[in-house]
Amino acid sequence: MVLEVFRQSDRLQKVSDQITRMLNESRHVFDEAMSALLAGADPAALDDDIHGTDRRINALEQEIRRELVIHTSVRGTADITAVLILLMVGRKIERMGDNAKNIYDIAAQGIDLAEAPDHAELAGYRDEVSQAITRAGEVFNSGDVEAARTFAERMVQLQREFDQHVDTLIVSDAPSTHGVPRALLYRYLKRIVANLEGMASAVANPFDLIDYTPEGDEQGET
Amino acid sequence: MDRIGVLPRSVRGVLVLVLLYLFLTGIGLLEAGIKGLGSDVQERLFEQVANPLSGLFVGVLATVLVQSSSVTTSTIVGLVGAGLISVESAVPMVMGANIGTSVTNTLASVGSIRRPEEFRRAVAAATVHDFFNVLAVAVLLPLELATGVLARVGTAITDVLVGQAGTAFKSPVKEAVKAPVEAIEGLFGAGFGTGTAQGIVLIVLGLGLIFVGLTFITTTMKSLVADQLEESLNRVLQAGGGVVALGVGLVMTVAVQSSSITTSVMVPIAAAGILSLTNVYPVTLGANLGTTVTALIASLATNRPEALTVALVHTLFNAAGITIFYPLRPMRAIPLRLAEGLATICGSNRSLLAGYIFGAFVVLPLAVIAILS
Repeated sequence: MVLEVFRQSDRLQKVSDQITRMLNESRHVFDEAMSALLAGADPAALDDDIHGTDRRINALEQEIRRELVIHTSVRGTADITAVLILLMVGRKIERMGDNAKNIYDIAAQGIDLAEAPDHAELAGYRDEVSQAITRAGEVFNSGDVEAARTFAERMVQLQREFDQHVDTLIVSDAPSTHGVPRALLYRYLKRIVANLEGMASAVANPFDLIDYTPEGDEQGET
Repeated sequence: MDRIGVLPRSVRGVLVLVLLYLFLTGIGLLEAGIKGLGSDVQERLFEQVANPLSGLFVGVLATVLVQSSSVTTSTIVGLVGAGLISVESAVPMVMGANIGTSVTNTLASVGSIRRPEEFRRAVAAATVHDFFNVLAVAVLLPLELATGVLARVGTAITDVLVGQAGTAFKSPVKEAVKAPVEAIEGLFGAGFGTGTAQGIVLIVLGLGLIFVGLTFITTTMKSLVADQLEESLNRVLQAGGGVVALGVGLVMTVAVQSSSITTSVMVPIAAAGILSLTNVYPVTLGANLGTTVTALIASLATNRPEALTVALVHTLFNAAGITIFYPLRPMRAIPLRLAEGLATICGSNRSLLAGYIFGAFVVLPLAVIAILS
C-alpha cells in the first residue's frame, strides 16, 4: 500500500529496478556460496566472483542512496515514505549479500558438506531460500499485500526451523567440526530469511510496523 | 506542488500558458499603472534609484522580500518599459536582484544545521552563489559605471532585434495582452477615476499578477519536469561538473523559471556529500544565466526597446561574470575558497549564518539606502 506512491515517479521506478538488480546479485552470491559448501565447488575458484559481486551490490546500494537524496531534494517530502522504504530495502539486500558471503567464508575455511548425512535437508533449504530471494523481489515490486503476507508467513516459519536446528546443535554431543559450521550456516540462513520477511512486511505492514510481526514483536536479528 | 502535481500533464501544460499570459498581463498593468501616476510622483520614485548604489541595494532588498529575482527583474523591465527609469538606472538594480536571489538557497542550508559537517558543506554550496554574484557585481558594476559597456552591447543587440531606443516597436505579445489590460484599466478607472489613485491600483494588481503568475508557473513547471530534473542531476553526478553541469543548471532554471529552485535543490545534495562544491558551482552559474530568460519574456510585453535592452544586460552581466569567474582555474577558485571559508566559520559557530543572512541581505541594504537617500 505505501509503495503505491512511488509508482507515480519514473525515477523511483528506476530505483525499484535497481532493487531487483541487487536481489539478483545477492542470489548469485548465495548460490555460489552454497555450491561451495554443499556441491563441492572449489571455494578458491569462486573467490573473485563472490567478492566482485559483493562490490557490485555495495555500489548499487550507494547508487540508490544518491538517487533517493536527489529525488527528495527535487520532490520534497511528498513521497518520503516510499523513499524511506527503498532505503531500508536496499540496506536489507546489502546485508543479505554479506550473509551469503559469510556462508562462503565457512566453505573457504575448508568445510565441505557435499557428502554430509544432512545434505538433502540443507540442499532443500538452499533451494527454497534461493528461490525466495527472487520471489521477495516479485512480491515487493507487485505491491500485492496478500502475496506479501503469505510469503512473510513462510519466512517466519523458516526462521523458526533454523532456530530449532541451532537449539539442537547447542545441546548436541557432536564434535565442534560438525556443530559449529551448521550453527553458523543456520544463523546466516535465518538472517537472510528475516531480511526477506522484512521486504514483504514493507508491502504488507504500515510503515511503523515494517520488520515487526503482526503481534508486534520485532523480527529475528537482521 | 502536490495539488498541482495530481492534474493531468496536458492540463498542467495549458495552465502554464494561462499563467504566462497572466504574468505578461501583470507587466502590462504595471506599465499602465506607472503611466497613470502623476509626473511628480514618477520623479520622486525615480530619485530613489538614481544613485547606482541605491539602485543596487534596492534590487537586493526587493528580491530578498519577494524571494525571486525573476519577479524583481521582470518588474524592473516593466518600469523601464513604462519609461519610469532609464536603462542606466535599471542596470544596478538588476545586478542587485542577482545578489538578492542568493538568499533563498542560503536559507535552505539551515536545514542541515544539526549536523556540523553536513552544515559546512551546505553553507559552502549555498554561499558560492552569493560570492559569485557579489564578485561579479564588484567587477562589473564599476566597469559599467565607467564605460557603460553592458548597456551599449545590450542596446546594439536591441537595435538589431527590434529597432532603436526612443522609438516604439509593436510587440505582438503586448498586443496580445492589450485587451485584458484595457479592460482592467476601464474597470478601475470607473471606481478610482484616473491619475495617481488608479495608477497605484493598477501597479498593485500588476505586481500581484507578476508574483502569483511566476510563483505558479514555477510550481507547475517543477511538477511537469521533476523527472527530467532528477535525470539531469544524475547526469551532473556522472559528468562530475564542468560544462555539462553549467548546461544542466541553465536548462533546469529555464524550465522552472526560477534560479532559486535550481540552487536550493543543490544544497541538500551537496550537504549529503553527493555533489562536491566544485561540481555545484557550475550548476549555480547555469542557473544565474537561465533565470535571465524571465526578464527577456517580460520585455516582450512592452513596446519600448529599452525594456529589452535591460533584459539583455541582465543576460550579458551573468555571461560576463561566468566568463571572468569560471574558465580560468585561479579565478574559479576565488568564489569557491570564499564560500569554503565562510562555511568553515559558520561551521564552528552555526549562529553566525543567521548574522550573515540578516546582515548582508537586510541590514546592509537598508543602511546603504537610508544613508544615500
